[in-house]
Amino acid sequence: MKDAKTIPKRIIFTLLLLVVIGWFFFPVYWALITSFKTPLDLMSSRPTFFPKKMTLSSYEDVLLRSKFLYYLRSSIIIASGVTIITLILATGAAYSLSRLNFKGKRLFSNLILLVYLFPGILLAVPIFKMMTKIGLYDMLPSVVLVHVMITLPFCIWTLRTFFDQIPRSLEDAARIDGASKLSVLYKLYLPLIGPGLVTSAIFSFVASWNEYIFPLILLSTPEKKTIPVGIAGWASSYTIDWGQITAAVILAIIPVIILIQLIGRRFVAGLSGAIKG
Amino acid sequence: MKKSKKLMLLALSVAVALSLVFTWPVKVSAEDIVLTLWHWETPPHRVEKLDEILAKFREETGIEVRQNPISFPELNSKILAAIAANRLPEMIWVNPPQLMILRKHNSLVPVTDIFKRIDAEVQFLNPSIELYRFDQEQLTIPVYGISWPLEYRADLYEENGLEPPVYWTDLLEAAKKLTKDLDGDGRIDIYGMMMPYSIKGNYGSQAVWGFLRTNRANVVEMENGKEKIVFNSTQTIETYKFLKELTKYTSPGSENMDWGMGELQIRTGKVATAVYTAGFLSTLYRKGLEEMARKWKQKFIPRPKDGRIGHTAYTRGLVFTTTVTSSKEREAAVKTFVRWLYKPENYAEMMMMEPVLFVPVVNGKSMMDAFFAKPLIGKFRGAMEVQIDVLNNSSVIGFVNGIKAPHAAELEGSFTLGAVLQKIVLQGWSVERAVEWGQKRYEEIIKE
Amino acid sequence: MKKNIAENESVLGWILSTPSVVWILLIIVYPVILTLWISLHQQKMVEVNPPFIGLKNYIDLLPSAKFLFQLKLTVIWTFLNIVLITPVGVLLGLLLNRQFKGVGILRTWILLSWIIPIVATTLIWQWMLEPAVGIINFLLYETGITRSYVNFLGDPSISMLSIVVVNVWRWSPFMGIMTLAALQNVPKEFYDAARVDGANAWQTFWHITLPQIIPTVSVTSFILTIWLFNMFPPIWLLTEGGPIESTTTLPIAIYKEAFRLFRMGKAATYSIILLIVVSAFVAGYMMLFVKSREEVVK
Repeated sequence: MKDAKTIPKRIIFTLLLLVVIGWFFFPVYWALITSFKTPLDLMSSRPTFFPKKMTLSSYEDVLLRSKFLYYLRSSIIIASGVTIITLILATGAAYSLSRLNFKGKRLFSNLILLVYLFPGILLAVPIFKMMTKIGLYDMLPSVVLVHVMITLPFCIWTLRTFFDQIPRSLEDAARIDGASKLSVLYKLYLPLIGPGLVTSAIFSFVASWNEYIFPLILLSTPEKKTIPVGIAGWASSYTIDWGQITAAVILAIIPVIILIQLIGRRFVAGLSGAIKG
Repeated sequence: MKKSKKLMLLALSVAVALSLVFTWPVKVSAEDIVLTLWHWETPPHRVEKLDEILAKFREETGIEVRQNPISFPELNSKILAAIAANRLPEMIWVNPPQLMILRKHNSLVPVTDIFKRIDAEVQFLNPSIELYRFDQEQLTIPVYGISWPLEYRADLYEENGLEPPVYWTDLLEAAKKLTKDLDGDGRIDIYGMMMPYSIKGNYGSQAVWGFLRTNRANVVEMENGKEKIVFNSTQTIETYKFLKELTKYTSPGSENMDWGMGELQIRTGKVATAVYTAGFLSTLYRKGLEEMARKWKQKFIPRPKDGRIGHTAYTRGLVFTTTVTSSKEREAAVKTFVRWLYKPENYAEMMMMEPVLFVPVVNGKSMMDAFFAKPLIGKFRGAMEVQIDVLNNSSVIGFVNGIKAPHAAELEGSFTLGAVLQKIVLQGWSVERAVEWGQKRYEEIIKE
Repeated sequence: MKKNIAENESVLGWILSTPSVVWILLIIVYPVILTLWISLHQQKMVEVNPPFIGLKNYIDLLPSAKFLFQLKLTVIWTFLNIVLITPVGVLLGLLLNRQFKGVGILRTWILLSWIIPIVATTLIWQWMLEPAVGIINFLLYETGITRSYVNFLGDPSISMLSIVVVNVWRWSPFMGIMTLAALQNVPKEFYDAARVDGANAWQTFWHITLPQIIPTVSVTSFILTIWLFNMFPPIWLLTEGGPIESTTTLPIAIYKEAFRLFRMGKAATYSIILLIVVSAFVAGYMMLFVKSREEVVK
């Protein structure tokens, strides 16, 4: 009886899973095999799915003949800075908006959305002007400053929903034990909103990693440019080197995946422990 | 077991991150003069080549010039932001539209004196000089040209008993004949022509402009010091009628084609004829595909029987911004750099940033000898010579017959030429109606 | 004394939220005011002292058919995206919350479409969607689904839809992990209690899972909607607003005004109007949802 019911279910589930994997990964797979294809293969009018001949020449070009490693460095510095600052500021703000009562709370939470109401493309010129005035032009922190502005509102709003969902009774219990508000935030809430922190961290990192208008406008030295700015440049002329671009894409994926693996695993593990304890 | 694995992964990633952060410090030397040059030749091998040239210059003179390659679509916004914040680099390689932006904000220093001295040695091509001369003052030193001849597959033309097209009628016939279903499956495998009618990037509008010029059509003239749109003319209408026929044989995707997608179709052998730069030949060669490169030959864009040779091509010019005049040393350094760059060997080396794409804009014998002595250039000598001819017979919107339309940048940047062809082909408008629409659109642009 | 400050809710609230608010306002307020100011002038490029023309830019722009058409396109773009991204993302989140072999790896790698810089993904998509040499048309043809090529980006009647599909591909994994995070926040005790009460799978989903993920999903799709109104890169990189005007949403129109035609005054006017339109949406959302939610929480 039970088997008869679960087998079609499993088939549907597996099919669904295959569709999801095919749909989301095909373009990435396409980039991956392109990065290994020989120039002759790339010229062929019949596309090949499993190249017979593979070459690493595109990767050699990216790593040895371009400034890719510099781009990687800037991107890592900027995105890490953005993530850390965003998390610290957003956690505090989200906690106070969710758990504390103070004047101007509503105004605060709505005001920060102003950033998203405004088309970002037009911000470029005034922000460039501001950064040169305070002497940050062509410095990595100028991009961090702007990117934090972009990531903060979303992270505050998200973390707030995570705080909202924790029953008040938990905090009351801790307060009876004599813990101060800040230590409650640190010791009780942080582990409980783990998944929220992880997604906020991933969001901040990736949003900053991918944004390309501001690093393009604010940075000048070629060695300070970020990965998207670099890749955009490679594609904007009469010769698009698909091998090189896809190789850069594949290489740029690696650091982000490592990061997600690391923080993702840790927090999910920490969470189930906290609930049980 | 699992924990140690995790630790190793952590340690590894931290090590990678740290080494990335600390191993390549960006050098800053405070006491030397550092000049900055902006340009949009962003592909890595071009940047690498220019770095070599700049390093050589530094070795010989002790002056440091830094390049800042900016991807083309963002160049205008970056220049505007830099003007607003008074943060321009000393030198920029510009197209006429960027020149008009900089000139409008009084951000340029004329280069007439040094231009004359270099011109005496290298003899710049006339169109390249004319383009940038304003009231007897020279605003740029020509650097290199990009030109778009008619590219055609010589092998296919020969197989089908076709001569390379000279007139519009030839091109139409060839396009018709070469559009073929090779394997008989009911789907066309190769297209006779690639005629973009797109407004993505400027490919569509550039290609239309070339054909317009062969029929003496124009967009803007100057009358009593004011711009006058002359787009709505019989010549324009004739040209669009011809292009409407031609687009019947154009390859799919022409509606949204930019330079990159165009190159893809050329390289994969989907088209037999196209208006495109010959620069892709050296890419093919570099990738070990010389045989494919040999199949493509170049010619002037076909013209009507009573027409003329007309083309589109750009000369990129080096401008000095007002930043140059901030100190005597700086000014001297910039001049040293420019003089050095136009020595035959250095100039020829600069053309190697993208061989066959960069067209030299000089005439002097020693310059050209040094240029053609480069191995790759010698290989594609024919293509190179056609591209130089094209450059000598070309014009840019707003810069026809020696005029300098103040709104040239906007007239070009509106991509109206491509949009008009879209109205005709995609929306089925009559040619007359579409051209009139284009005229109105241009008139609206010069109003403000 | 020190302890008192940290215990006073008002003071602590201010201390914790001021840095964020100041950070954001410091950077955003000057550009917004500047844009408002520019929109009242006939500003060309970045020239100083442009002529003041009052509300002329607004009067010219607002009733024009072109503007209304672009506004309509913007709304269509936003609507299509959000109604596709939200359910696809939530389903993805539910799928990833199940236990099966390889789920850990999938949870990380599913984000790839969102991790790869958009300049690169759009380039790859543009190539794949290309009619003559693109892989998708090749597959459609080889499998016999189509007899000729489909012109995904070049056909004005489907170009918008094609970009939407690319954008859904890009953003639904993001919605997926937001959902997943919310699901993981559901205390296990809830499910245990439900099982004890004898609830079936559907009841458990309806009464426990759904209420727990709705706050996160609604906030994410709310903010995503605002982003979508102003979203620029995917459309710009795939079609630049063409063919004809079929994908010219307001942000695309703003960019063209500002950096192709250099009419900064008009571009600023467009931006201010877009700001007002999106604000109206935000206000509507707040009135409908946020209030009711706060009551529930209380």
